[in-house]
Amino acid sequence: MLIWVAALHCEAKPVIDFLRLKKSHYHHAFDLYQSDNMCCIVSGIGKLNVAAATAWVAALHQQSRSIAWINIGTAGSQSYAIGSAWSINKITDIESGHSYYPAPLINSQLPSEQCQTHNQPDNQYHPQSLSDMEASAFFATATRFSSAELIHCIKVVSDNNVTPCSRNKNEVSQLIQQNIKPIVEFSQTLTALNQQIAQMAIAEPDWQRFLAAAHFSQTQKTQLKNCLRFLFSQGDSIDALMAIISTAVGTNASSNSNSQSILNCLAQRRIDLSRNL
Amino acid sequence: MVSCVYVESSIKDHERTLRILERFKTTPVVEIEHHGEVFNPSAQNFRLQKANPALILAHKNNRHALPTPEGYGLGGQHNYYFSHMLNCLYDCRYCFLQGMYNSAHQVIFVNYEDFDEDITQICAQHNSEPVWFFSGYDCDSLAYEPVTQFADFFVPAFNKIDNAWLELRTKSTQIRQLLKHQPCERIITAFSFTEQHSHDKLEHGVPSIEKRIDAMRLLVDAGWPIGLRFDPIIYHDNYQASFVHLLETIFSTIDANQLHSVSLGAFRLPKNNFRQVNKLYPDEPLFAQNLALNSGIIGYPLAQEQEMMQYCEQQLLQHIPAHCYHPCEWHE
Repeated sequence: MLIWVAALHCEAKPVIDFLRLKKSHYHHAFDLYQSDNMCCIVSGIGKLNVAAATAWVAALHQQSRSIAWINIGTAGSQSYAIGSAWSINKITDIESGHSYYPAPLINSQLPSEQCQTHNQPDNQYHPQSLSDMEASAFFATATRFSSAELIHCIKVVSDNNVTPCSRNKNEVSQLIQQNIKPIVEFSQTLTALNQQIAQMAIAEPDWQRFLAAAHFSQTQKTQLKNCLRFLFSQGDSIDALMAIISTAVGTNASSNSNSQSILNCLAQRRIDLSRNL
Repeated sequence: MVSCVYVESSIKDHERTLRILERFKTTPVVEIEHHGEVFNPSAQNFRLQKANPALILAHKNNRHALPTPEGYGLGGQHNYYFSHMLNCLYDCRYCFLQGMYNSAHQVIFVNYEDFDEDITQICAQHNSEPVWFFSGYDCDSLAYEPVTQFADFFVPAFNKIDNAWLELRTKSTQIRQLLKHQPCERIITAFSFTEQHSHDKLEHGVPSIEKRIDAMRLLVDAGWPIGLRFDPIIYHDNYQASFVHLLETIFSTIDANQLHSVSLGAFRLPKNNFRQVNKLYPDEPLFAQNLALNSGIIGYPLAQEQEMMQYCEQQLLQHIPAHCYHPCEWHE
């Protein structure tokens, strides 16, 4: 799952249009646009709004195997050209002084730069940093749900010393729109990275099928998960494993002995498959 | 490929920092206050980072050299380790470093002079008794030599302290800097090997066995003492024949009488490290093997481990003099 987080509709619109995301009519706390493996949430301006939206949408997708994130938006700059797009490699929250470090994405077409997050609109541009109002809270919140490598900010310069911040929504959308190709390519690289993590997780319906086979203690659940993650990685299918464990479980055995029989049976298969590395 | 270079503000103008940055002209450079800001946060994925780690240039403030853990050493009485780097260039699936830190980024502490000062002081405290220093505990001593120039600095530094002994532990072939210096009998370059099948399956990015043997031979020819570390020994159906073949390959090139020391140990990881790496690599067959917990260490069941060690020991002692053999003792 890839989640785009934008403060304003006009910042989200080029992404929503390009990726053909559809507005959800089931959710009302925030405006949410979605497709099968992607969604875009419009948070509103500022740290509080973006933190709330990020946490809310993460909770909404808690069953996803892994979530990747992009905060897309505009930023001010002292010297960079209006319309230039940047991936952010250091975020400093001006209020707390705390810094965060999104890991640079290899092979990105977007150059990287630092960003300062302010509580209020800031006209005193920093010479070596972009300025925005959401990135620090977005990053701090998203790292509660995903690892830092999967959380990124892309900022397009909307105002600088010469050109003040535009209040025209179409102009803001146009700034993002003119960078949509590298932005989408960036998201595709991130999605591929996210896939590496997602494929190691066990799908919730599959997990539930195993849990339904017997009563597992908490420790046994951990053992079961370890076994299954390995066996799935070796190409075993859920149906094949269910067939194996059904033969291991006696029809008259108690639920407790069933769980141990299942674990023994899967553990033995794991050892057999791993003996030659 | 280094994804980014993070530089601590306090050493951004350090001569060694500037030299290293010269090598990464097209890589983004980000200034940080302390390496822990990037290295320590828990919301990091070691496995994802390992594919394209960043480089962190930092200053080590204190504790430059520390006593080694119990059982670590080559029979010397005073044993210390020091780490000019954290994390390794290579990606060996059995390595405890995978579960050691939250981050796979490589940290280089550029203030070598402070390490040297502490090492000199420690040696002075032990009068003229031999003091061993191990530099390959948190990293490979030589793998990043073109960037770190670690050996280039520390070979002369150890050479001037009469009772200081240094083990450079490596899987690399980066011996060019060593060969520029006069050999020192107190600086041992110890090469780690696993047999071919384990090397193919588990040592990602590590130079081939043949290339490492070539590097060993060049050092021996130049008069440098070398060591061999067969650690870890890893079980598979053909491990015995494969280990014998490894020994034959090595000793067809290297004269065993020129070895300073040889050690041998079976695969083992501290329990917490094992949990961590198993979580990171659930698809790794090594961690799915028949393993058991013993004295806080996850390894092969004792009987199996004894059998493996006995066999390998027996084969090894057919090639080397017994006095230079040091088994890795970790059982209580």
